[in-house]
Amino acid sequence: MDIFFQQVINGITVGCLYALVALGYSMVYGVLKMVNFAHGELFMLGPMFSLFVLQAMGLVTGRLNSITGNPSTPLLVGLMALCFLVGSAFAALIGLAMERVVYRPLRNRNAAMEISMIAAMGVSLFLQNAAMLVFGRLQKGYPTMIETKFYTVGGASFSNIQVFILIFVAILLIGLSYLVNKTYMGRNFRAVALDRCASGLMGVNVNAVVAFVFILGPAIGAASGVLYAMQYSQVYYLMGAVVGMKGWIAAIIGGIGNVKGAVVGGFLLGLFEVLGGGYLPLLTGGNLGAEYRNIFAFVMLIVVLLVRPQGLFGKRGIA
Amino acid sequence: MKTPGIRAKLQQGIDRLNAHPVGRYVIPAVAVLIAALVPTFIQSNYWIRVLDSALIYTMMALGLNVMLGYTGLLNLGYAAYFAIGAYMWAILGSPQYDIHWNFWVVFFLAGLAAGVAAYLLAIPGLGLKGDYLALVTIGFGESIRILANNMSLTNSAMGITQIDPMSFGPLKANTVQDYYYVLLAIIVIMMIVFKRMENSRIGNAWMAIREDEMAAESMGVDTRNLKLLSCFIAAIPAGMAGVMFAATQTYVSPVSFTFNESIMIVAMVIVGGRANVFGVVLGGMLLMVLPEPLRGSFFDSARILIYGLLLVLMMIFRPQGFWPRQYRGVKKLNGKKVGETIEAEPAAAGGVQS
Repeated sequence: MDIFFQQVINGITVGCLYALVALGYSMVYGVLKMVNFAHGELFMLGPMFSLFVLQAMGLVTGRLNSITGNPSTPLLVGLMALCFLVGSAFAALIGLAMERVVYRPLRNRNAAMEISMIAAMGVSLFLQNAAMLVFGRLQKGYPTMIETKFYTVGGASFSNIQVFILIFVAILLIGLSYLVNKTYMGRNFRAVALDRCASGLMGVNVNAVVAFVFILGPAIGAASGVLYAMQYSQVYYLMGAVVGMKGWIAAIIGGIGNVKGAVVGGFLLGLFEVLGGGYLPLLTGGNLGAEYRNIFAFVMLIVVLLVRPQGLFGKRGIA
Repeated sequence: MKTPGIRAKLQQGIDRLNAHPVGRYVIPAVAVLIAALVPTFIQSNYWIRVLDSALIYTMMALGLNVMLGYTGLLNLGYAAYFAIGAYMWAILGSPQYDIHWNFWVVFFLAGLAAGVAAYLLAIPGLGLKGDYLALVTIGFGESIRILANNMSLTNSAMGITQIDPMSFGPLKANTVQDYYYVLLAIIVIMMIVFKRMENSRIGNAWMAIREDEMAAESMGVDTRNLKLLSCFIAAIPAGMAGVMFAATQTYVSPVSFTFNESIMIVAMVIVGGRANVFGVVLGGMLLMVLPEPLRGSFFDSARILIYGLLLVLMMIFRPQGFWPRQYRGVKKLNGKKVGETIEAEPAAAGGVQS
């Protein structure tokens, strides 16, 4: 049972991050009916760029890029906020540029779905490899900021970073739900997601909504990237590729284009993957190890597509 | 009224040449002859080896063209079918398990295995929308690589060595030139087959699905089964190319079947010209041969970056590719060039609602 609780805690932590990434996919899909492949790269650029800023300011030392000296707690909190702000701002800038330079011309031409998908894939490859050339191809340490402490409750242990991630994600989700459901911009967003053409006719500035989505989605994605980098205390130019795909799968499991579905899908995927990865070696007597963990997401995707192709919260028949 | 410009005149000339027997038979025959004489001009085994792998990738590009070019379905895990073929020959033709089957039996079996895998995968993938298929295929590509990396059957990350070369009965292929001639013959046969398929009822139905799936369906095209057929046929060349790859390299390991390989094949089809076999062959040869002199320089590490940029630029400025297909009859539809793929205005995006 202890192992089970431990796995559930780990699964929820991973699920939080998947949920945030899935949100980015779902929001763009809701508005533009396209999959923004490059979203995973924005997840990676957030921590990459914030580490770059920390390095440029001379605040980190050593191979692990730990914070220089023995900083006080308020300074650490400030640095953490700086990481989030800088990473999110940079990702939002890239996201906006991407929308302007690549997606808008395609949208204006009313290009086919596979054309915008190939373009998005090109953007993703470009960003990934640009990050490799600029920031280096090796895994780099990322400062953890918080001194890791472990708490044990009923045999399962969890770290304060995991608690921090949970609280952070909860606040973000509450804020986002307020933004989407209660504000003027949120109402426009929902209108465009429902019917782009008609909301344009009703006087909604569609391009502004799209720009809003391409600022908000990448900013959230980058913030989750910073959280991810803090938990695993490393950054890597390929880290966005795997998590990006998981986020996409989570979005489809929940019903793509659906904000609530993305969150639930993310949690489910995280739980399923960690539990599966944890129990598979035990159940098969060590024949199949945890390295098959990444296949779990794929198996789950296939099952969902066969049983309920519109996703858990999706509506049937939406083309 | 504008007089026809130089472009239109050139187009007229091309159209006339395409219709004439010289354009239809003589020019392609001369091109094949020149290609067959290449090993006598180029003495260096290194360059022939480069051409061999370029031809193997071109085989795959021709296969992917069936999905991406004709039917408009994006497959981002195409290297998985390549891996299936390569591992089939590695297992059935090497001292690893001391099995030595006939090369050509495995060649066709691998094509069949890859096709069946693609068919089964497409059933959930085609469920609702085309973009689901892209995701399912990425997942499949990754899963096959992870499996190959961990299973004892494929000797995990070490890979399988000392794979048998290609053979015809007692004759064994020893030189890179032997492979070049065989691959060239395969490519020519494939081009003829796909060219004929392009103009068949099935080919027309595929292109109708690509241009407007809803309209195609209302005209009586069985879209679901034709899409599945397109996935099946598209994967066959990849399985065969995998067998040729294993035989030329005599060594396979999971690193040869990454996501980047899948992307490269997509780029070949896109850059060359979707739905045109000549364009696809051009794209395949260009993307494989051009980066070769840059090996080891800065551009080598930036290769994928350049591919990415190339894909984006192509999609924005020339989505039909450098050598696009010439369409008979209708050139424009809804004021747009056919082949640039007009998006069917879905009801959800404010189209006609009954």
